[in-house]
Amino acid sequence: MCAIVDNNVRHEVFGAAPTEAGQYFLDWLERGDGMLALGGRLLRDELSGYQNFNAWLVQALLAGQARRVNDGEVDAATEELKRRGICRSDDEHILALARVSGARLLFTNDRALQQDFRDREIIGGTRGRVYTTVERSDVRPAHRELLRRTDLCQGWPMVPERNRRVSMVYLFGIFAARCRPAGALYDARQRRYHRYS
Amino acid sequence: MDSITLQNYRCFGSEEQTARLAPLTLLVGPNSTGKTSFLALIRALWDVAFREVVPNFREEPFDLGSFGEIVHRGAQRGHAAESFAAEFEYAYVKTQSNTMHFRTGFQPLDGFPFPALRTVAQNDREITIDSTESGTDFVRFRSGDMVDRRPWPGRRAQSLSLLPFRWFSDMSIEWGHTEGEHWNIDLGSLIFEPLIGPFVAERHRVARPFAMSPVRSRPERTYDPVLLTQDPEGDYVPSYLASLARREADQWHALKGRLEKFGSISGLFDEITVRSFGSSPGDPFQIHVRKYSHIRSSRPRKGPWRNLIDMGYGVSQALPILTELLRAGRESVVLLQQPEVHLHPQAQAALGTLFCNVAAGGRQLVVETHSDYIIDRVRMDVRDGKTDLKPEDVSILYFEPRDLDVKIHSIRLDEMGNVLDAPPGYRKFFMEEMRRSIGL
Repeated sequence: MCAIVDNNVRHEVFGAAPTEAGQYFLDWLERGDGMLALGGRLLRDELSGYQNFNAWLVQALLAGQARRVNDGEVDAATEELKRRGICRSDDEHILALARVSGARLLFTNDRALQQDFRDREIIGGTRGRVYTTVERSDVRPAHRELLRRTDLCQGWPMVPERNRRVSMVYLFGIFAARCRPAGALYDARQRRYHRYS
Repeated sequence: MDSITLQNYRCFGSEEQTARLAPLTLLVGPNSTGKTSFLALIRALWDVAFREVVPNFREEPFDLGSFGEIVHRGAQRGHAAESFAAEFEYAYVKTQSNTMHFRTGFQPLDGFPFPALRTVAQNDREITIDSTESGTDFVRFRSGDMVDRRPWPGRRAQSLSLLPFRWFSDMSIEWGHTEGEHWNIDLGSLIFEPLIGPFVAERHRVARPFAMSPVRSRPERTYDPVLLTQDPEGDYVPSYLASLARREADQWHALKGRLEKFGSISGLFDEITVRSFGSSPGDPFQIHVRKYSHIRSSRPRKGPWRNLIDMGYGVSQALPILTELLRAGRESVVLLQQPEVHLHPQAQAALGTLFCNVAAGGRQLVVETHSDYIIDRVRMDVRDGKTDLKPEDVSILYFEPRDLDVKIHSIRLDEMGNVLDAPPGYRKFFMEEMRRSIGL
């Protein structure tokens, strides 16, 4: 599942004294159950100035727990949202990142942004879900339920693909040859024995 | 080689595992998870397939021992597999229809692994030489629905000289014993030309994989020329450089330029030269290098020439790798173990760039490494287009310990340099160290 962290809650996740829900979110990322989508202004101007986040990001990129998307595409989508003027918030760069990356989970406490993120017309495709600590910063059942979901990432498979090709599913070992019935030939490709004379 | 599948080999259990190989393949993971065994298997498979010899699993720099040490052993005492198997996939022209499979199954013969089953397959054609039964080699072929198996006349199976595939070029067989049907099948046109022909031709094109040792030879103050035979520790490299400088001025200057370019980027040295004590080829010589001071950017100050042995250990340890990768006219697969040892992170990162450039030039590299600097530089160079290497040309194989066995994960990069298909737990240690470091 792909997620976006808004600048207004970055201290809850990457700060020196994270909230319980923020810590829960970070643990979820580091277990490899989720990944952080990054790109455009959010990364360039906001999160990148945060020292702890920078250190985390270097390792997370190597570990496959953060994924960058093309800044140009995010910037173009941001401009498009601004031109259309349909957002209640002024965080078009975050909504554009969701559109481009396919991330459908947002950690934010900005109520206007939450409304925009749930709006299919703004982010396109599936409506987004919001992870928030506006009312309580401890871990609630709603937090747990959100982070258990596997359908909040469009376009990026979270389960490693099986890169084994169909033609490679068999391997011809001695065991098979040794176990063949008398007078038969094991055809590894079809996984059965042929009679021969 | 485009992929390797293995089963019951060393720490890899009975589950078949396929690892994707690319022009640049990086092997990563904790110690004792089979990375070196994997490198040894690449060379062994190549020997069976293209040299058609019984592979020596004790050849330097890999000494895997006898069959009992090589075959997978379970947790319980006495629960060792009876055989192990491996396969590689190889596209001699990069299309799916030209993908060839070579499979081999090993069983013990006099305590060492013997390739008792060898199969070459492509599309619906397949030839297998079966030496599992003592006394006779059996030949099995398949073309479409046609399957046949018969003894090969005049051969004793389980001989150290393997029955070569090319012997089938003029073989014809009788097929179809049902009433009224009886054909003579010309194996040469049916099997040999489309299947074995390109396979045999390929072995003349690509040299045997060259494996370098994780520890290279110690530098010497003065060298005596030695035979120019490649060895894993790079003993031949000083003599190769001296020979080139003496006899092939153009090649020497080209190689010297490439070495100095890398040396400068990596911070190891800025100039390298060979000083000979005499004019005949047998005279002793020394390797000297020097560094520049770049404090005044307009005009660097040249430092004194120093003997290789008087430089830091990193220079002499890196020189065999650099020479092997930068010399002209080599096409073999290179198997490298820990190329980063003794190198500063700047030089390690420069190695990452060098690997990208060499692999983009058409030479396949398989590198066992613990260096984040190498891996991250490869990721960044691919992302930023600093190399002709495409994301699909890089494969990161993560060797994950699972209970007493090891699972290989094939990790990919995308065009943004993102790491794809990483399993949970990949780089867990690094993440935990980083969190502790920054107090998260």
